[in-house]
Amino acid sequence: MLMTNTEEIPGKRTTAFHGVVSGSTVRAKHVGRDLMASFKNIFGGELKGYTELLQESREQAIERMISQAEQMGANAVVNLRFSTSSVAAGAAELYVYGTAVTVE
Amino acid sequence: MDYKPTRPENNDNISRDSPVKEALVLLSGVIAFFLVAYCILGFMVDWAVARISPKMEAAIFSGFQVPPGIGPTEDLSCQKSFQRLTDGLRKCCDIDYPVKIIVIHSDTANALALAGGSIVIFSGIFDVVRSENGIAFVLAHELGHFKHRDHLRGMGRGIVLTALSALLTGSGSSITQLTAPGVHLTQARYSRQREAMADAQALETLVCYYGHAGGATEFFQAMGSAHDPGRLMPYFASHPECESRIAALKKAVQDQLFDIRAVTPLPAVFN
Repeated sequence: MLMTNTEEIPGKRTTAFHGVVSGSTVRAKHVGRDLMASFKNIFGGELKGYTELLQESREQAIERMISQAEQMGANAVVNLRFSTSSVAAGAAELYVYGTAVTVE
Repeated sequence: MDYKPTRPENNDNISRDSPVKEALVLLSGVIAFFLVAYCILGFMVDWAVARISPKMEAAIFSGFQVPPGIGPTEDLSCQKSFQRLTDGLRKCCDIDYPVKIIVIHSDTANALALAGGSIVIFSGIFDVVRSENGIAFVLAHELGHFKHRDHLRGMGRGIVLTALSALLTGSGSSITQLTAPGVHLTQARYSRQREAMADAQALETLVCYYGHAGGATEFFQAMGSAHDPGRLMPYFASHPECESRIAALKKAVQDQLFDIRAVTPLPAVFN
């Protein structure tokens, strides 16, 4: 599955548009990570647990979006965008969306 | 270029896992974590309590005062008589540090062992216990708590349980209120075991001091007839039921072949 945040894929010809595809997930880290993050807040620095949390969320959202695109018969997603929102304390929603296309 | 609008067959953004199964897995995980953490921290409390000497305890809790509004009685003769009785009992159960007696005027018939080596007696107890032996048993029971360091254990475990439930549910959340009865049940069960041990210790102390076990069940008999705890209450109570305590004491008297003789009446100073 090809993915790009541009409208077209250079060197490829878009033959069909299938519509909007999206993937989303809301994830949390375990209480131990939350506790470590609150300690880190005292001294400052990277909250590694939360970096990991967002990375995992992005990967899962992309997987779900790819699955939708495959079901629609597409082989690429263009105009890819990420969005995020806060749902509950210590939990993050990652939302990824784009246009499913067929390229050759 | 064609536009072929299609919809995906499945929406993968919604998880198909059974919420009931997930809830069961999560709940059992949380309960297992809670139990393991409580056991480990409970052992750590016991370990720490064994290492806090009475001297250190007295230093830590020297600022521990009786709550304002229920000040100690002015009747010093009453206080002194109690102190003499307690000092005698103290020698019988090998407590080699001073235990201070505080008598408080109140309708409540009860006594408490406070951290830092003080026993608080509420004067309502003289309305239900009519013999010196009966009072001595109550004092010996509180001394039993000191000997087993139950007041520190109870305090430590209370802190552990409150901290754990706050950690799991977040302080002040509505789930904390749901777990509160569970926390209370756990605490109450532990407390009942310690109370039974203090009773057994008190019986031995009483026999050592007076030479017989007369008056040991007087307080519980008086309290037992005062109110009926109901069917479910024993599980929530921090103390065993009066009837079961009387039965346990009677059994201990029989098993250890203790004599039961006439009790010493309460000295006039207590009236």
